[in-house]
Amino acid sequence: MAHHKQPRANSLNQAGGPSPESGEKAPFGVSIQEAAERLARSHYKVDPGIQAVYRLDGPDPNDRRIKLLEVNEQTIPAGIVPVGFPPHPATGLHFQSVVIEVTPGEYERIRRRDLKLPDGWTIGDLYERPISSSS
Amino acid sequence: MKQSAYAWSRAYAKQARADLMAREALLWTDCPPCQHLHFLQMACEKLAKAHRCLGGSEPSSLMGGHGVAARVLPQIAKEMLRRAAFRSDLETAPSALVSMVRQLAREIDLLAPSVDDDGRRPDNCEYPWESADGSLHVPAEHNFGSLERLHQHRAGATFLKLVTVATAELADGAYETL
Repeated sequence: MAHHKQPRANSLNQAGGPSPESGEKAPFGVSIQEAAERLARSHYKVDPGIQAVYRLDGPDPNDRRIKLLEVNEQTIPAGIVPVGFPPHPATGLHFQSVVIEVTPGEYERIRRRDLKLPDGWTIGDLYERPISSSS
Repeated sequence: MKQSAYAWSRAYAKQARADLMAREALLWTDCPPCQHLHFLQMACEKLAKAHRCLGGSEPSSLMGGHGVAARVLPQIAKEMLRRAAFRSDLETAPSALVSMVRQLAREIDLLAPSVDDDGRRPDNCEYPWESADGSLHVPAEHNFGSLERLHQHRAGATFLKLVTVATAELADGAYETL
């Protein structure tokens, strides 16, 4: 099921900030890539239903949101429902985030293109499950 | 002028907060439980839609949909746990909270008449329904079990607190200036 893609090369977006897929440090010292990994790790740890968390890539280089696709065996089939959160700098999250949670069956439908992600979004790297969290 | 996702999110959250206030007011009256449960269901639905606005959904397209609280509220629980871990300077810890929120949110989704698990769960808090044995049920006379006393058990109280806190955060506009 794993679908790996290498991170894109670092690049600046039109606003002069790091693009979502770049590993470049943001002004607050944490790149969006690192922040996304931390967020994925925290989700793995608290949600026993998660089978896999993937990065989602979008077509807009100015889109500085963390975008995650979570495959969860405990959720219900409901299609593509992007759920957004504001940044929360007080607890170290400096980026907006969007999470799409799907069942394993819906994930397979996405891979077969029977179920569409938002326009231009594609499945990127798999975030590894932290060793201490259960599978 | 087209309003921002934050503005729409805040608007949905404000209306969710009004639903929660109505629920609270009804809770201590002789009104049948279906009434305060109806407001709780609507509040959860609007909170879910507030986060869907932030996720990029077209706000006007969200008015009619039901049944996604079970998709959204667990994400809120995860964010709350992440924040709590950060504040305590601890690694995020395994928790039963997310599963509990997922189960309760699903039960609350099912209170909407249009969400019936493919006919298996016609019980709802708005319209009468006929069950498989042919008997007629009225929401105002129906026993909704532990959902009626959500505030009286620990998991239910935690769930209500999560919904209330998450709604207030968005309704108060804490994020609009970020």
